[in-house]
Order: sequence, then structure tokens, then C-alpha cells
Amino acid sequence: MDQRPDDVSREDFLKTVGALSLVGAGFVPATQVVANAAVSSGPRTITSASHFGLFQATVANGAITHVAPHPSDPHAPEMLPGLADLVYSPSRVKYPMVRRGFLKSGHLSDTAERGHGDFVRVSWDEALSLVASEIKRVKKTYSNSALYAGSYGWQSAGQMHNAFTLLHRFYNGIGGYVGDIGDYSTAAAQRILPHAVGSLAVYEQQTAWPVVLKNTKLIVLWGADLIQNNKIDWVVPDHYVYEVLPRLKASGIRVVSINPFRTDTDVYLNAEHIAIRPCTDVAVMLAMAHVLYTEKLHDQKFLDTYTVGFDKFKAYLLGETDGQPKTPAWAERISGVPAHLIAQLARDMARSRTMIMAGWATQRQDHGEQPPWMLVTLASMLGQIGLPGGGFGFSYHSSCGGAPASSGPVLGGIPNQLTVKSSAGKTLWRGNAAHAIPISRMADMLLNPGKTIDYDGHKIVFPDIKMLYWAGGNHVGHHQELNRLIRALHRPETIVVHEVFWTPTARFADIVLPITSSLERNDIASIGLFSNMGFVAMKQAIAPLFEARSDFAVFSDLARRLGFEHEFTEGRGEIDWLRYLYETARKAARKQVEMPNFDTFWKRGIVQFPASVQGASYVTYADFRADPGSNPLSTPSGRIEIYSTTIARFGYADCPGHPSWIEPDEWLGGAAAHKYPLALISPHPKYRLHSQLDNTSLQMSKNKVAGRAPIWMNPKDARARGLANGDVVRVFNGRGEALAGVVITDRVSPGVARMEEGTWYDPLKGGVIGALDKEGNPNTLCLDKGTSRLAQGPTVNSTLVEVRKYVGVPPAVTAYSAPTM
Amino acid sequence: MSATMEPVSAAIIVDVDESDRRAHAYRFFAALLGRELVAGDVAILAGVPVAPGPDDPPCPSGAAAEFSHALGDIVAALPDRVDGEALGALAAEYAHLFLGAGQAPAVPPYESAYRGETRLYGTAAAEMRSLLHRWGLAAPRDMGPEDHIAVELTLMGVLAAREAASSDQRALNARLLNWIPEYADRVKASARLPFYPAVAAALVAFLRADQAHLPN
Repeated sequence: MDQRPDDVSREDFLKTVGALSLVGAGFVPATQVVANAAVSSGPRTITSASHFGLFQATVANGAITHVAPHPSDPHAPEMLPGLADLVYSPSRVKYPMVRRGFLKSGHLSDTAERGHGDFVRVSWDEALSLVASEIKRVKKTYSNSALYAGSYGWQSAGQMHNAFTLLHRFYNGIGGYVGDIGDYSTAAAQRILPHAVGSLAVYEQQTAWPVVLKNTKLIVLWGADLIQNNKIDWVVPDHYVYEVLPRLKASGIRVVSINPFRTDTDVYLNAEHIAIRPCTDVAVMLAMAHVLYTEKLHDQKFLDTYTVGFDKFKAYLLGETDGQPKTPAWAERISGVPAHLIAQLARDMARSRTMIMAGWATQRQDHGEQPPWMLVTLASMLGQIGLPGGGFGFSYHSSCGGAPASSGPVLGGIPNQLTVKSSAGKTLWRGNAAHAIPISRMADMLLNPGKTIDYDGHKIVFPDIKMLYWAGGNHVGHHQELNRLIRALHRPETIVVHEVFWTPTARFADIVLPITSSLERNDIASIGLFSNMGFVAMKQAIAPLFEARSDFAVFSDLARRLGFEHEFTEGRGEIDWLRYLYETARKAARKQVEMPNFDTFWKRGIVQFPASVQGASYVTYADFRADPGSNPLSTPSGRIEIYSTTIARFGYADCPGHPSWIEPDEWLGGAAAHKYPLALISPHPKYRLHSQLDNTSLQMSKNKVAGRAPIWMNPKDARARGLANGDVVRVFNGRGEALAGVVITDRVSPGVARMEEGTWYDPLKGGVIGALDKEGNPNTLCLDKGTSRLAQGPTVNSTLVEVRKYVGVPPAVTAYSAPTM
Repeated sequence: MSATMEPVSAAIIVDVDESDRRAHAYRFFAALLGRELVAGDVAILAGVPVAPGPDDPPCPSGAAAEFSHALGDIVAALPDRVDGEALGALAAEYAHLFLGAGQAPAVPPYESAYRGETRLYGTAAAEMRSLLHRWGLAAPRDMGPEDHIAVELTLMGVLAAREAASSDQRALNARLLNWIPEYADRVKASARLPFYPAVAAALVAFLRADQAHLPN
């Protein structure tokens, strides 16, 4: 002790303790609290909404006691009540926190501390001063091209408090940033399909379900799970497909599912399941095309009228260009699907009104551009595109594509565009650094500044990123090859994260700002991404917990510090923006739909739009089919491009001018399978939205095995490794290792292991490259590689692993901060 | 950093009898565990004589004596040099243990966690909210759920100061002893610096002494 004065007695000390800054929970009279907090009155029910559905929250004494599905949604998923767990999760970020090393040394701190370095609490004022000064420093020293704010993630269900939109708006206010292109879900499809059919197709309305039920005779689910993935929606789910499924089941419509595992949909519908080796879909589609062509079951008239380039493709199909006819026998060797099944299904598809419903897993793999392109080609040969109940659809499994649309207006959000005329808004940019990168190349970008990559006919020069700003996302989880990402995260000087919880991403930040959950703020949302069945008021249920603030409040405060608060807020507070967004939509709808004014809507909590006649009878590509001259597709030829001159000119060996079977880097037929003989697939989780809700009690009770991510294994593979149900296993390859809990089931094919994505990464030693992931995030194992030079999408499903029983007592899971006692 | 922050609450509107040693002791522990230490706090702590001086009254008995011991242990657990570095380390330790930041396992500072509740603001918090209300009090919102250790200890200090009925005091003391020993064990297991284990251990000893001291 070097500061002890000698003239203080213990008695004196005890007398002074209470008067000094050493105060505990300073109480206030209860009456004062009640008077100050309008939200803490007696029990009441609040209607709100989430990505899991509409719900009602019961609030008593300022606390949410219960979350239940809204009576209007009988199909709310079982995880919805977990929202109360979420709000009151012990893993909430409570106060602004700064990594101690960063607080001490700023941008010169040891960045290898990320993921394990200590944090200390700071005041909001101190945290935001620090963030503002870092942005200014990086912009001045390195230009806007050193600021990465792609901040990939899901949006809030509400339109106003949309974290990445607000982040982009804020960054546009300071002259720009490096952003991202594409996403992790459909990157390959959304680059190839505009070449093939002239639009994204993955985020578009499908032929309406009533049309399918009436006309379709055969549904082929290609890597699509309608039950598991429609629980959630990019906005608020309408859960329409759950009305359809019993009718589909009773209809007699034949359903065939091509998938490495038997999905919940397959089980429910008792679908015919064709087990396929992961990453071999194109080979099977080619073989079907071969059967159609050689047996003259293809629709030559459709190909002539509506497509271009079939002849060039045909030469490849028949083996004229590479000496390999793409026969069912050839495809059987690659895919494991018996040749006779391939041939028979092709014949059946040609002879029935067939709708091919594709999932996205088949394009989350090496050369993921090929499956969607080949699927369109196959559908073109069948000639049913544009007919009621025929053709293909890429979103029946997502946000309830095919739910009949209303004629309600589009509900907009706060614009991400912002121009600030003062010096704060000036754009500084270094050299030819890209303004945006394909999102799943993020680690690549951080590790290789200045490197040039190909992307859809362009060259992209990676910028030299010095500051990373993330608001609303969890990249230390959804990015592939986490050990490589961790190495990449050592590169920036500064990382800022807005978070509600101590996610793995928050743990890798320098500055963590506590953000409100959606129940702690007011917002407005639309119901049904494709159906747009109505708007719902997402009313604040409780006061913000601890010191949480909304993203809007944080960016407004930062904008004030940087001199453009008024431009950022446009003088509107929260309720003003909600009124503005609603009234803008109401004005646009005036001719089609009668809507109450904002105050009435806000009081009622919901406005509903009935499905329109056109919506219920919608057939994709019907206009194109009716008159391709007047309604051309947005491709260079105006038609479906089976051969794309544009792509051929790019000269990419990994994405040639027509759909092709290209052997993946990693698959069961490749050399690496000798060492790592199991193909790991990681679909979207059943009880979560990606990593959302992983810190809720329902996950622990329903979605974990031995407290970890379940790994599905075929009985044959389990037997060969001496595994029993519930065993903890090490799942590993040359890129990492993760623990998982074994589920033995013949729903998964031999040679295939299935782990759902979204489990929180939980390293045995935080921040250490190669650390054992105790909970089992599959991205610890997946390869970080672009699908091809065309789309540069993620290739998660092209992953090989080995599995061994874990010997000894497995380490406790600690991803959620507060371990179970 | 933390030295520039406002204390948990600037105002204490309670009629605490400042001369009551037990009330002081409870408030003292609440203060130490309610948030990070700031520079002034450490200076005060560092100024506490380890042994009674010649002018001090004779060492009292019971809970107050235990508190006297506790003070010595806590002061002894302070870092040798109380500078910015040491304060930062203590703040980081606080965040590591109680705020869920840094490396797990954290030590939940809420009673609910020790009763198997998986959510904040659950049953324990609601019970405490009612109890506070019964005494005409409410905890400040930024403190979080009312079953936080600092809130429970502060209320006990209020009961002591108000010389509340012994049965009320015994009930709250028992409530505290229901979970704080396990909390202290976890602090000991997770801590990297000696300070918080010393505070938690001293608190448990004090709670037990106070339990013995409270009349039936």
C-alpha cells in the first residue's frame, strides 16, 4: 500500500464510507419509479412481431412474463416463446465495453488479444467519443476505403430499427465505406440466375400455392425443406405453407425429395426420398437431361422459342465435347443414385405437370453456380415453365414463397442513402480499392489487401481495411473456416460491434455497444415477404434493459459528434419515423387498399390486406410464355440462356458458358475422402434463425445433445466408429475441430454427417487459432473458398470430416457466459 | 475509463442511520460488488488501517467484529500499487466475473441463477421487487434485475438502519445465505486476482456472523 494516510482510524472510515462514491444500489422511493416509467404499469398484453411470427407479450410490473403466439397465427413455431428468454438472457451486453488493451493503446493495441482479451466498462459518452475519433482517424489516415461496414446479417423484423441499414446510412453520411455484395444464403444462385433467367429468382414470388395444388401432379423437392425453413421469414412470417401442407398431403400430388437426408417435410408428406451424395446434384440433373433428350421426351419447341444455346449444351450433354455422355450410369457413379431411378424420374417429370422446388443448399457448395443453372436448363427441357403448376421455384422453402400476394403497399424503411454536404460527408478513396466485395470473401479481403480477384466479369481489388464496424450480425459463426477468419480478424486496427448479446462476434470486438432488443423499442413491420398480408405495430413492451440503446439512437449520437445529426435523423424521432414510413405506404396504396391513418393503426396494432385474385392465381413466367417478344426476360437475348455468351467470354474455367459438372475440391468422390470420409452438410437449423435463439432454454432442451450441437450420422457410420446415441464426438479435419452430440438415424445417408449451422462458436481457448470448438459450429470445419470466379459465394456444403468418440470428460460449454448450474 | 464514470446512483434517498455499523457493512459490500471500483474508492480502501489504532474503541463483538476482520482481509487483497494499471485490472476482473464479458465462466451476480432460473427478471427478481416495494423502495433501472447481489445487500442495509423487525431481517439474511456462499465459491474458482475472492469470502463470513447475531 503506497497511499495509506496514517491519521485515519477504522471508526472514521466506517463513518465516511456511505458518503463517498462507494455506493451500492442507490434506492429511490418506489413512487418515483412508477411515476417515471410509463411502461411499468399493471399487467397488459402487447401485440408485436418477430421473424418467428406475430405474438403477444404479457407485461406485468415492467417485466415480460410470457410470450405466446398471436391468435391469428395457429402455426407459430415452437421456438417463438424463446423471445422472452432472449430479452432476459444472462448473456445480454449490459453496458458499453472496451477491450482493455484497446483502451490503453488504441489502434496500436495487440489485436491477437481479440477473442480472449479483457473488457472494461466505460460510459456511453466515453465509448462514443472513442468510436467517433477512430472513424475520423481512419478516414483521415487511410481514407474511407479503409472502413469496412458490410455488416452482413439479418435485418430486424421491423423496418425502422434495421441495424445494417442504419449503419450504411451513417457511413454514407461520412462519405462512404466498403460494403458487401450478395449473401451467404444464395450468393451463387443470385449471380448465375440473372445470366440464365434475367433476375435473382431466389427472392421472388413463386407460382401461387393454390395454382400448384390445382394443377401440379409431381413436385420434386431438390434440397428443399418446406417445414423446417418456412418457420422464419425475412420480415414477419405469414406461415401460409403450414395451411397448404395438409392439403398437399391429402391431394394425391406425388412428392419426390432429392436430398442427402430425409427432411421433416419428407417425413410429414411421406415423400419418396432419393438419397444423393452431397455436391453431386448437377450430375443427376445432367443425367435426367440426357434421358429426356435421348428418349425424345424434351420439349424442343419450348427450347426453340424460349431459350438460347441448347445446341452448345447438347454437345456437352452427349459427350461430344468431352467424350463423356452424361448418362444415368455415369451419374450413378458420381451421386450414388441408382441409374434406373434417375431415368424413371426424368420420364415421370416429362409426362406430368411438374414443379421443381429447389432449396439453396445445392448452391452453397463448390461450383454452386451450376446446380441452379442446370435446374433451369432441366426445367426448360421439360417445357413447363410459365404453365400453371409447372416449371421451377427457388423460394418455396423460404419466407413462404407461393403464399398468395395481397395488393397492399410496400412498407419502406429508413433509406440507407444519405448525402452530407459539409466536410464530414466528403469521400476520400485510395486507388482502385473496391467499394464492395462478395461477402463471403471477407476473410480473404482482410488477409490480402491489394489482391485482385475475379467476380462476374469484373476485377475486384481488395481494400486495405483498418476498421470493421458490425451492427446486427454474427460473422464469427456464419463465416466459413472460423480459424482462418480469426487470423483475418487480427488485421484491422479497430473493430466496433453493436450487440444485444455477448455473441462470439462481440467477443472479438474492441468496442462493444449494448443494443436494445426489439421489445425495448417501437417499430413497424410487414407480414409475409411475398404475401404482404398486412402491417403490424411492434410496440415497445419494456424499458431498455441496463444501458441498452437502439442502433438509431447510437448512430444519431455519433452523427451529432461528427456534425451531421440533423441530416441523419431528418429531425425525426422514433415515432415520427414510424408515422412517416406508414403514411408513405398509405399514400402509395390509396388507389388499391383502404388503410386507417397512423394513429388509428397504432392504436389497433395491425392492418391486414386480403390476398388479391391476381395473387392467388399467379404463375411465374406466364407473361413471358404468353408473349416472349413483348415480355422478354432481362437476359442479353431476352430468353432463358442455357448457353451464356456473356459468361463464356469471361473465360472462367470454373464457370464455363453452359451448366457443367465440375468436380468439387472436397467431396466424397475426391482424394481427400480417404482421410476424411464423411461429407458434412450444415442446413439451416430447425429451432433457430441461424444463430438467433441459440442462447435460449428451448435450444438446451430440444436442440442439443450432451449440451452440444447434434450431429446426425447413419447407423453404419456410427457402428464403424463405435458410437452410441448421445456420445460426445470430435468432428475434425485439417481446418479445425468441434465437439458434437451423436444422433444415430437412418434419415441421413451413409457417408453423410449433418450438423445445423448457427451454433455459437465456443472455443476452448478464446481467440486461439485452431482451438477446439466445444459446442459445435460447423463453420469451424468448412472451407473458405469462393464457389467460382463468377459468384465467389460460400461453399459450406463441400466439406469433408472425420468423427471420433471424445475420450475423457468433455469441457463445459461456455458460449453463453452463464453456464448452467 | 471507469474513473470518469458516474457512480451507480448519484442519490441515495434512504433514511439510513449512518452510525449503524451493520447498515454500513451491508452498504459497503453492496458498493464493492455493485460495480467496479473507481480511483477514489481505492484510495479510501487503501487508507483503512489494518490494525486498530490506539485511539480506536475496543473491538466490538459479533457481526461488527467479523466486519472488522473482513476489512483487513479485503485491504490486504488490494494490489500493491493502486495506479491506473491496477484499477484497470480490477475493472477488467469485475467485467470478467460479473458482466459476462471476456472469458467464461462468469459468476452471475443474480440470485435467480442460483435457483436454476435461466432468465433475468424472473421469479427471484419479482420477489425482490415486491420486497423493495413493501419498504417503499425501488432499485434504479440501470442496475438491472432486483435480485442483483448489490440490491439485496443494500436492502439489508436499509433494514438494519431502520431497525426493522428481527424476523424481517432474519428472513432476508437467510435469503442471502441461500445463494451467496455458492456465489463466493464461483468467484474463488473464476477469479484471477485476489481481490474479489477476498470480498466474497469476507461477505459470507459476515453474513454468517450477522445471522448468529440476529435475535430469534
